Amino acid sequence: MAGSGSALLSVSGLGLSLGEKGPPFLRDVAFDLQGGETLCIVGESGCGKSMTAVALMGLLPPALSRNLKGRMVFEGEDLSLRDNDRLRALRGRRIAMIFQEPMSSLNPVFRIGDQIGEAWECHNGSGGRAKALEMLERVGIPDPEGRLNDYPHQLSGGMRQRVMIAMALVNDPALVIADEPTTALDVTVQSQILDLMRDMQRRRGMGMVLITHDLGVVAQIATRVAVMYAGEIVEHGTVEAIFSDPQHPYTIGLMASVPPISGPRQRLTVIPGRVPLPSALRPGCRFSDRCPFATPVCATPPPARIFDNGHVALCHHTPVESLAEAAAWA
Amino acid sequence: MFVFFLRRLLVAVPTLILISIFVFLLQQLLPGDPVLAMAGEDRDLATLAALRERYGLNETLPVQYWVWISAVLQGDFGTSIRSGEPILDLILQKLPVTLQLAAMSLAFAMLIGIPMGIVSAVNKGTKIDLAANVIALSGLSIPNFWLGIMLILLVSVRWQLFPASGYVPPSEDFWQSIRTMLMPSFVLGTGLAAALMRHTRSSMLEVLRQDYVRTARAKGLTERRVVLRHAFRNALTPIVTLTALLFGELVAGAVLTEQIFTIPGFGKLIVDAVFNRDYAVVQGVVLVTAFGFIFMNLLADMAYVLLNPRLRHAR
Repeated sequence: MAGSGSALLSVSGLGLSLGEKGPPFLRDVAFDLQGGETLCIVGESGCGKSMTAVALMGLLPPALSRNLKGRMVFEGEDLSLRDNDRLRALRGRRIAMIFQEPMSSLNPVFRIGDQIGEAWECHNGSGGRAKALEMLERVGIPDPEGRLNDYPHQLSGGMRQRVMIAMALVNDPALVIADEPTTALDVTVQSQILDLMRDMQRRRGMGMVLITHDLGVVAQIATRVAVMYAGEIVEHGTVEAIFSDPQHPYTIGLMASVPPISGPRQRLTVIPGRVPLPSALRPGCRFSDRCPFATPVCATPPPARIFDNGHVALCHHTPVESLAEAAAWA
Repeated sequence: MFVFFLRRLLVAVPTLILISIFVFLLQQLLPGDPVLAMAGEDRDLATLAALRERYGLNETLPVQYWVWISAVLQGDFGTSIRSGEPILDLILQKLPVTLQLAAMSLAFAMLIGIPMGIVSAVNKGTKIDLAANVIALSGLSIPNFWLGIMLILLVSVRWQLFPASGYVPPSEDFWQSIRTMLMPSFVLGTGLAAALMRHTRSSMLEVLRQDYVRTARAKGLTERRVVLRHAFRNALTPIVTLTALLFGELVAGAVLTEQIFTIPGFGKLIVDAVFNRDYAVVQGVVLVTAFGFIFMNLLADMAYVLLNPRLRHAR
């Protein structure tokens, strides 16, 4: 799936291990993204979603990035994920990032107008203030002129996230990576921010990688979905395919753990166990110790099963018909 | 913001009153009788009684305090028991010398300590960090007086580069004044530089972990700008506090340094007054020092507000 020529972004072989010979924390993560598309990366906490995002930005701490592998082709340019100089030149200009915590992600001692303006000026020279005003207007902040001189602590959480979005989009990037942009916000504000992001994306034809654990967000905004588990993409496909025809047992479990809005109340379904620590990872299927369908064959690396429309699942027991069989044996 | 400063200023007043009472009482606790020291050889009881009467030492303590503090508030610190000179004149004469020493020492400390702290934080865990820490530890461990004496031996006596002692007021010959003060302020500054370096390092390490530093990097800013602008501005607050607190050490260090380099400053005035049991001078000097300390802390508080916009809107 990686490497098709026309993609805006094509990541391949992204791997990260803790220490020289340590177990791989991220294993062979690969995906493509077209302009105007939204790829949602979903998974439990600790599955490597944020790590993947930070690695693409070249923002891993030096102790970790030493053991980073992988390449990406971005806007036709093939570069190593360890090419820090190149990544820095792209950062903020062609690839922008929106972070999870708008409270702590803005610098408390600088005016927001200056913080947005700085993002513009460090790639374009001058005119940051005018640009900041324009961006504040675009992200729907009331009285943008008055807000320019505010400090982050004077704004509400939702406003701060709007400022973060303004800052990320000021240079009209081709790709935005958003790491749980709505998790820290009130539910009502969440959908406003998602609407804003979708609106900005449509108008500018940006590609977006959105990291989330919220399947509601995924259904609302995604074009395609990559399901991550323990540092691997275990299933990947269009949003319709993933929601209506999930193939990997982990994806099926995730879907089942969303409480239904209507119908009789019932106990929430949970996937037993937790994401294994990197030190406890085994060579075979990483989900096998929590998988209700696991059989001895799962101790060997699972094959990538390919379905229609680029829908791929990393499991010995797909397609789903045979899952039922597997369950019957268990 | 103005209200904040005003309130801060008002809070300083009771502190000053308490300090003045403390300074006054401290005198009563010190061993030795000033009258005996004044009388010298001539120790018949009549002379002693006359002296006690003359200086009001027979009054009760509150009365003595009241007499003293009301005079002080009018700028009259009394006269030196030893030399008979007005104490205010003595202080005004010696203070500028020590202020110059303190300012130059602080400049040395900041010029050495802060950049070293930043460099060592950015290169945490590397050989550079290790080297900076070894240097800082040496700076903390080497006693001022030893460093001073070694510098005099080497720089002044052997190489004859800088004068070993004395003082030239800047109004007389500015460059000569800086030259004579260079070695003493270096000696006094190194110990403070080490403390500043350690604090800058830990403060920077704390700030460099913050999310907004990652945001700054995500904008594509150069690492230099991320560190010097986004991180350092936030790391400054504890550094400013420490610098204000260092003022106390600066005065204490000045006492020793001025002895070594025979600088006729405030520190020497303190030492001489204590040795001579010149109570009135000690009181005046300690009071002025305490006032200076409170003033420095007031400045630090104002600096916080300028540095941290979150305080500006706090009421």
